[in-house]
Amino acid sequence: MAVLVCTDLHKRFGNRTAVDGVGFEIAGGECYGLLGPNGAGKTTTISMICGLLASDGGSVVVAGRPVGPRAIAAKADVGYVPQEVALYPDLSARENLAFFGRLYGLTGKELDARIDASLETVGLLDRGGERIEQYSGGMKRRANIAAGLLHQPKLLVLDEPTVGVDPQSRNAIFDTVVDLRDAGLAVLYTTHYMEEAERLCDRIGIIDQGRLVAEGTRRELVAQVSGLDHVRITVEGDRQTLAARCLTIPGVDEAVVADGFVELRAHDGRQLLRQVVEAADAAGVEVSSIELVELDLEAVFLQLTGRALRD
Amino acid sequence: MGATLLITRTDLRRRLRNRSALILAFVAPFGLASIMGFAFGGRRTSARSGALISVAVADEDQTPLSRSLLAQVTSPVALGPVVSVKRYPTMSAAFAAVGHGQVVAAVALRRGFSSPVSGGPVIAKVPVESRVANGSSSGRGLTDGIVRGILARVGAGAVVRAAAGGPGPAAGQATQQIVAAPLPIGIRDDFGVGSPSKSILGYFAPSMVIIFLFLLIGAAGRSVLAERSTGTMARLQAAPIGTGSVVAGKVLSILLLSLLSVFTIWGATTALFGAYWGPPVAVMILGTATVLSLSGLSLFVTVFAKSEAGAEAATVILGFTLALLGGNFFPPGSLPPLFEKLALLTPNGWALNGFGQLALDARGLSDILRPIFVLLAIGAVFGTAAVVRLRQAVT
Repeated sequence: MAVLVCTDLHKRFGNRTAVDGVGFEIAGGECYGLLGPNGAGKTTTISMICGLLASDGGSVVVAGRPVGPRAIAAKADVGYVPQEVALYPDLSARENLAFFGRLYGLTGKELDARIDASLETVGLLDRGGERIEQYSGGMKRRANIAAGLLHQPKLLVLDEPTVGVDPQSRNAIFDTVVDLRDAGLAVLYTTHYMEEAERLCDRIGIIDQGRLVAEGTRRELVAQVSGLDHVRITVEGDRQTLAARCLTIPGVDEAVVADGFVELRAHDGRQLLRQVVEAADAAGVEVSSIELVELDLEAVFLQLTGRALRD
Repeated sequence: MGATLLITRTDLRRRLRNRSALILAFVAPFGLASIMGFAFGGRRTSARSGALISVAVADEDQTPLSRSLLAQVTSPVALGPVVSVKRYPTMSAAFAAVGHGQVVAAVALRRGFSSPVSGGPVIAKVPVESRVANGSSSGRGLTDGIVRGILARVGAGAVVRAAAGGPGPAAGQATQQIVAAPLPIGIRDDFGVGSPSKSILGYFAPSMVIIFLFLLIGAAGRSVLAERSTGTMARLQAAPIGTGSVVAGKVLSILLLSLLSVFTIWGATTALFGAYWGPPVAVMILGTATVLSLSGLSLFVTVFAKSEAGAEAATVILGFTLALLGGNFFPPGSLPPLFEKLALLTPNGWALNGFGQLALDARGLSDILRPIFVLLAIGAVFGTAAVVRLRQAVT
């Protein structure tokens, strides 16, 4: 069952359209990645999902309740982890969590227990009494996540939680997100790092210029862009002849001659390798290597938007 | 309401941990007030060296009686250490000194002043004239006291003369005794609360607090805006509370810190230096009105600035400009007439007007209703605009 359902979201700032008809769903126990370059509309989208911004059109429903700036009670189902370390540096992690926990109506022993649980989840239980300003960058990020988890939301929204984080802390954050997802939480994870999305997310939405241009699992996205595999043949000799012979192989749709190699676009490329070797022999060229190139999200994004992910 | 108070409490706790806020709220104003406390407190017995108010006198009558009376007027015992007397040959010269801002008031004895007492021709109008600098409450009070004291002697002398059946040795001796008696004026007696230096400190201490309130409130306002860039404002908005609670909580913490600053300095200068700010209820109400007014204006400037750096610069410039115009850096009643008028275009000028009346003129709450009303009006206008803008900024 979907925890988050957002439908046809629109948002304009003056003449600029920031979000243009974005809609997707996230189920409990699912991590959904919103992948796009800076300025694509990710933060505006999650601002509407968290009730920080009113949408100009469309709807957001979390756990069956509409969310918006005035829908105060529904916000309790959302845990928001902003891109910045949104904690008071002059307070300890415990003091920060106690403050934000009370805003969600937590008090007394229940609040203390939740604080302990949240700090333990992010591996900061023994450092909770220290001021945030004394933490390392990675610890601050983890404390930032703890504040979003404190009130046990049904949907956790993480806005680029690993920006500026060292590899070790990044792995710790990944482990935390995976654990939360496995515990049944619906997770919305925005990033412009494709490797994060590939590693963490069950499904990925690619957002560009305010529009959700594609959505699905990594394999589905690759298939949406092209059902063809890329087979790269590195050769010495007449590459044009090789390309012409390869085009006669059933399943090969396209053969591109490049400097030092020929690249084929083919259906089920893995099954064609023997025929490709035979074609090379017939063409009289010497094969150095044959490589089946699978598309990654970077390439998918490039093909879908005509732009590199980090533009 | 619970969320508002929670935000206020947390904000206050953070601000009280912040050294720069502590310096602006307590250390700096108390430090300056302490310096003044030692300065004025240590000079209580050195008469003229601590003079802050100058008054002009002119004797056009030039009789033994007039000279004797003016000698009484210039006595440090009569006027206390905060008043210095400047002598001028003519009334016009003395009044010109008022016009030029050299003195806060002038008293002149015209020719024929001694006549009703000394046996000369009886005149219908006693020729004593005075002039007070515009808006100088201390000058007005001082002049009233001097003139009343003089007229009391003139009247008493005339009565003695009439009782004696006209000029004669008995009448002359009685007149001299009356003139030689101490004048029933003097700031010390008027206040009825102790040394005049303590009352001057009661004026300067709030004056210093006001200067730092501008900086304190500006810094606090900027820290609220900074929460937008640090993300904590977004986290507050994501919580299940209304935007109004967030704004109210933030503004309330600024007001409480400012009030804490004012009342702490009040208590400290009173306890340590015996400063007299005025009747407690009046000081509390005027202090609160002052904080509301300065908070409204400072927050207005802060939240309408385009950047935090711009807000900081605007707050500092506004604070020191208003402090100069409002008279925070000058002794009471020493501003030229033009600046006396300009001071009343500033909230701090009105605040000092009120604090001056309480501390220097021994007035009460009913006498400072006008400054309180003006301060509240300024606070309401600018504060409302600032809160509306802050609410927009938060959302």
